Amino acid sequence: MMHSEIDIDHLAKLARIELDGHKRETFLNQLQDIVGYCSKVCEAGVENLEPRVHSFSHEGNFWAEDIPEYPEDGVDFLSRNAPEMKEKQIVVPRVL
Amino acid sequence: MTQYEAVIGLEVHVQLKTQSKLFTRAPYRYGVEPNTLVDEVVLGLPGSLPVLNKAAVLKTVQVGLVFDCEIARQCKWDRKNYFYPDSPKNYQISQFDQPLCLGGHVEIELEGPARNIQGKHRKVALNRIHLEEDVGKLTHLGQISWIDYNRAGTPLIEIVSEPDMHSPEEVFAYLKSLVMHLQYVDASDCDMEKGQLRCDANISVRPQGTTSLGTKVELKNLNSISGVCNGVRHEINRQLYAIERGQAVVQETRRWDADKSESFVMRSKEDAHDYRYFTDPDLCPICLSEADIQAQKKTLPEFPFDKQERYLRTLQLPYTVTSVICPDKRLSDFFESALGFYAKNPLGIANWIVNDLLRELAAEDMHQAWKNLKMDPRQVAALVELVDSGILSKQSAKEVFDATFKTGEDPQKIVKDKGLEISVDVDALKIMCAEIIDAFPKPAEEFRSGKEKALNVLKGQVVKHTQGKVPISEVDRLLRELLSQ
Repeated sequence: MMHSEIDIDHLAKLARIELDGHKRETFLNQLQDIVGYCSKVCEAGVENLEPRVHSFSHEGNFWAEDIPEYPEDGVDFLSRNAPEMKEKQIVVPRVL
Repeated sequence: MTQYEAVIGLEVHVQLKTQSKLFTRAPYRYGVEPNTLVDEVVLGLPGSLPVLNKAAVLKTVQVGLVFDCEIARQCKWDRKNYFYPDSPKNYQISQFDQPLCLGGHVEIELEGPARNIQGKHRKVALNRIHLEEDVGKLTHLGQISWIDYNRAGTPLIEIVSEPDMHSPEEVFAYLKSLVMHLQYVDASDCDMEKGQLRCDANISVRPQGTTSLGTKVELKNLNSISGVCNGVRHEINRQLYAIERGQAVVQETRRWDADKSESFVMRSKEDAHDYRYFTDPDLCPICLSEADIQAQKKTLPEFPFDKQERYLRTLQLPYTVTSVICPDKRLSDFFESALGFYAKNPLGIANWIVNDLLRELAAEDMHQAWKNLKMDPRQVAALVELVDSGILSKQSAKEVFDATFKTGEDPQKIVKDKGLEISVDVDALKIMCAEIIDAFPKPAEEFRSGKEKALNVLKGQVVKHTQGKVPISEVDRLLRELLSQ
């Protein structure tokens, strides 16, 4: 049942990645596991229960004043994680 | 033959003028070294959590109030999922089904029949205004793209109009009004060159008199207000041409190329459900009370069209003067401040501001010129008062204005230092007036036979001979007295 709910090819298209047969199968299985795990939550019977805590119930807002703080190592940090950098910019294949 | 009408709706993205980003304290500045204004929240790194910027919410509420929107008491944040390199997190935090502002309208003024005649006003209906984060900036270079994430996470409002405009002229008036109002509440500088305001247009055509909408085309890459109007005009004509030839208009997204004055088909747009919106689990909903909303209402200034109406009716300023002063909050603030020092001659003050001050400011970069401005409203008021009270001639006032603008010195001091006060030796002036009448018998005769304007020739000669250092009212009186004898 779960198999038909996950359109792995459509997801791959949205993610702009190519999946060969092996990877396609691997990801499909992994996604099924994730969705299956989450669906466990849906099995809990909550029909007659009032929510005990809900984010809408709080008074006031969780927000911060508009005070800027310069990041200490933005570009260095990025360069350690980016595939390629040039003149402090990340270089990627052109995506249209 | 069937007559068609265009139906146009605009989606306008406006960067809010906050100090820090929407969900983190990293700042955003235009033109800063690439990728220096990013942190773990901007990049969506594991373990990072967004914290909402209060100022961004309140500024959006202000904008909603300006355009008469209904402000939501509660709204939540949604993740809009898509994979494109401009988005560092692979999702954008936005508001999907619960925008902060709903409905509302933008009042626009259409071009009048002449420059000095006020145009018609109408209201363009809004659908919603929501708050979201901006994405990074891509620079395409051949087969590769460069990414700068500095802009990512900057607060952005999306102002979505209803399909309620019908010509490029209305689009122009709408954008002008939008910019004017947003600048008035200091929500944004709306500088399109810096990407602070970006616009997409949805355009369709339908037979006049029908109400259902035709197939729409989305037009992107409209980078200037004139670009929007040209793009819209071109798209309307393209669709009409297709219909005339019996072709169907295809629903698509097109990219406007301002240099070529043409549009090109872009990638097919993903359907809304492909964004797989879901509530952001890291953020609490926004809750606004009536008191919160009323507090924002109190911060709003008088709106430009109301101000213009007041200037026209109460101060009796000409429309052309109000149409220069009112759209620019800095100019109208300057004017009102000057008026506070000398309220007797609003037009005199307005003329100095509209003609001389604006000309000097426009001589260099306007933004920088305002920053460097040495002249203050009190000095403009003083200048007008000096002329009105007969101490300074209009001719010399120009010289004083230039000096005050350059040095910031008070007009009174400049007048004194340069000896520009009008000194009246009435007997000597009377003799000079008599000499002028003798030297110019023709205008003198014309005035005597009823041609009022001929007196100006004589007055001009007296001013010339005295280098403008005489009160023109006194010259007028003496000439009339002599000519009636």
